[in-house]
Amino acid sequence: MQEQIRAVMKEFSKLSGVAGDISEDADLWEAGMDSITSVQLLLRLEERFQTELPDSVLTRETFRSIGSLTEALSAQVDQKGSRAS
Amino acid sequence: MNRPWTSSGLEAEPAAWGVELSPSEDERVLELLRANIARRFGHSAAEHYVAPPVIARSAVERAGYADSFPHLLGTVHTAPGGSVQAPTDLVLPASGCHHIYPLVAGRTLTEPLMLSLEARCFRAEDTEEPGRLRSFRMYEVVYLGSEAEVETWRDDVLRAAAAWLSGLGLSAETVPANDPFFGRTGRLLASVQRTQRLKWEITAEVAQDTVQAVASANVHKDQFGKAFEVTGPQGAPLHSACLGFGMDRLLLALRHLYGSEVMHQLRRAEEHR
Repeated sequence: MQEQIRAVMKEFSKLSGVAGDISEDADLWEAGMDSITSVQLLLRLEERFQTELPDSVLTRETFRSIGSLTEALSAQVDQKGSRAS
Repeated sequence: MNRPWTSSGLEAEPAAWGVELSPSEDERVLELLRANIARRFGHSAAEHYVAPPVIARSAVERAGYADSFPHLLGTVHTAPGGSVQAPTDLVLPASGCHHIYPLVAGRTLTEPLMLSLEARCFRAEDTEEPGRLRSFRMYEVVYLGSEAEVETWRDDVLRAAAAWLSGLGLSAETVPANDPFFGRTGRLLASVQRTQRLKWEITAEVAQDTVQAVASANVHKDQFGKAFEVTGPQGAPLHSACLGFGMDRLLLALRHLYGSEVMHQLRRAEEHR
């Protein structure tokens, strides 16, 4: 999932330079993320993973790192999978 | 909305929620508010504009709004020559300042620049409550300059706006914005902006137990400077901020407070300033 998140990040000019190499715990806000990019990234990630993040994780903290994004998206994708099975 | 001060006595419900007609008595109040805002906050503006109710789609896309808030954006469709209705190059502005940035796109500004405008805006809100209009008027003052200049300006006008509104008798509480835009993306944006302290609102009661923002003062950092390639003397993208008054909300809050005595109370407040 992390590689897919990195691929989506590369579509955004503010993140494209760091998307490939930044560590999963590094702070994306310090690396160039801004508020508008976070909103656009949310929409693209939801489209890519065919899911909708719950309101409770629509926070700055969720978009802090690739790790925190992975955690939020995994929870949703796993939940969707378990509902479908 | 009950309007006992209308001369016709007509109390027609709007055909669509959040899209309201203003009777002439409300317009007189708005004229007074406009004059006060212009004198207090727009006197240094290089120009004041009155914006049309539509805007170039390209400007809204360049501002990043169309991508971030597609669910709130109103579009204009036409059928030229009787053909099938299709989207045009125009959309409905969601924010007054989107009209401003194309004016300075590609320019280098050697001094800070202040411009003001009043714009008819539209947002496809999904919550019907008093003051939650879909079509509304915003009076905005936009300031472009260095990061330090912009932050100082925003702090100054936020304080001055709260003092003015408080002087009008409104509760005028200054709070970090909690609903700058409705919807899921709005929640995320609010979370980010609260942390960064970019967007502040001045709230007032617009109806019984309904408190809403009647003004806001926001720092955009260099988001629009970058998007519209507006640079300072050293070549770096300029920062920007805006002070916005929701004219219809402001009127609603004053009506809620004073009913048909609004004009009298406004004039009295100005005399005592």
